[in-house]
Amino acid sequence: MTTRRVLISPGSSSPLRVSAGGVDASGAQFDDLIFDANQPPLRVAINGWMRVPYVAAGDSNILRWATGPALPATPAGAYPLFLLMWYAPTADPAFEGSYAPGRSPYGTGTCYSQNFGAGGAVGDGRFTGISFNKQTILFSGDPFPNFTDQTRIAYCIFRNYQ
Amino acid sequence: MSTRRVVIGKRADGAYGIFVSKAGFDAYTTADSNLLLNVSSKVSTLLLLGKVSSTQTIALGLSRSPIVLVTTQNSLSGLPGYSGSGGPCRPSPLMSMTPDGSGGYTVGYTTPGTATINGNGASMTVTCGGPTVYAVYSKAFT
Repeated sequence: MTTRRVLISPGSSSPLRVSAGGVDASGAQFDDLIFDANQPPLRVAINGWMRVPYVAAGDSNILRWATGPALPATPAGAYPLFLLMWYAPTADPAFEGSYAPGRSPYGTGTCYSQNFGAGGAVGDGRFTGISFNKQTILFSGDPFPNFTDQTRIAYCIFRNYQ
Repeated sequence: MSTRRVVIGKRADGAYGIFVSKAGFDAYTTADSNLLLNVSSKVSTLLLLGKVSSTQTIALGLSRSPIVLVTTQNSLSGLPGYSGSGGPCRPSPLMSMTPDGSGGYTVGYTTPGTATINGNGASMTVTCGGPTVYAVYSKAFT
C-alpha cells in the first residue's frame, strides 16, 4: 500500500496534512501528524528574558514584580498564550554569579517550609514578571543565602490568543 | 536554472514535508538555515484553544491523551503597587498579599485551574473558579 506523507485535499475536512514516517496522512491520528492545516500553528511573537528583583529572606513583602515587554495586539478580553521559565541565582560558591538551570514557574523547599519561585502574567498590554518567596519562619540573613542578584525570567509570548 | 521557493514533498536531503526558502535560495537543495518554513520536524501541535469561566467538560473526540496547559486569570491585586486588571498568570495559584493592618501581610492563594482528561482523550474537564484558558497540544514525538 502507498504511504502518503503529504496529502493535499481541497474540499476535504483538512486541505493539507503531513504525516510522520511510515504513516499514511489520510487516516493518521492527531499525534502522528507533523502538520495539519486544520490546526493553527503556534506563532512566536516575542522571545526573551527579563530581570525581577529577588525577594530577600526575612522580607515580609514576599512578592516582587517588574514590567516586561508590550504584548502583541489582541481583541478586547483576549490574551496571548505564553510560556515561561525562571532562573534563580545560585547560592553555591562554586557557581557564584551564575544561574541555576531553568525551572518550572514554581518551587518549594523543605527548609523552613519555604515556597519560592517566579512566574509572570499577561494583561494590561504588557508582560509582567513576578518573583516570590514565602517562608513560614522568617529570618533576616542566615541561614538563607544573601541574594544580591536578581531573578531572571525567560518568556515566550505567542501571537495565538484566547 | 529555476529557483524553487516552495517544495511540498521530498527534498534533496530526503526529508518529507513543506519547505519555503528565502529569496534567491532553492527550497529543494538549500541548507535548513536558508528556509523560512520547514514543516518536517516532529513537534507538538496546538489542537484546541478555548476559554471557560466556570467548571466545564469539553468534548475532544480523541483516542489518545493530549497535553493540556491551563492558565487561570488573576487580578494581580496582590502585587504591591500594581495597577491594572491583570490577566492569565503562571504559576497558578499565584500567592496574594493582603495588608493585615499592622504593617504586615496575610498570605493567601488564588484558586488554580486544572484539567482532567476523560476516556483516554474523549473529553476533558476543566475545573476552575474563574476565567481559565486551556490549550490542548499533541504530544511531542519521541
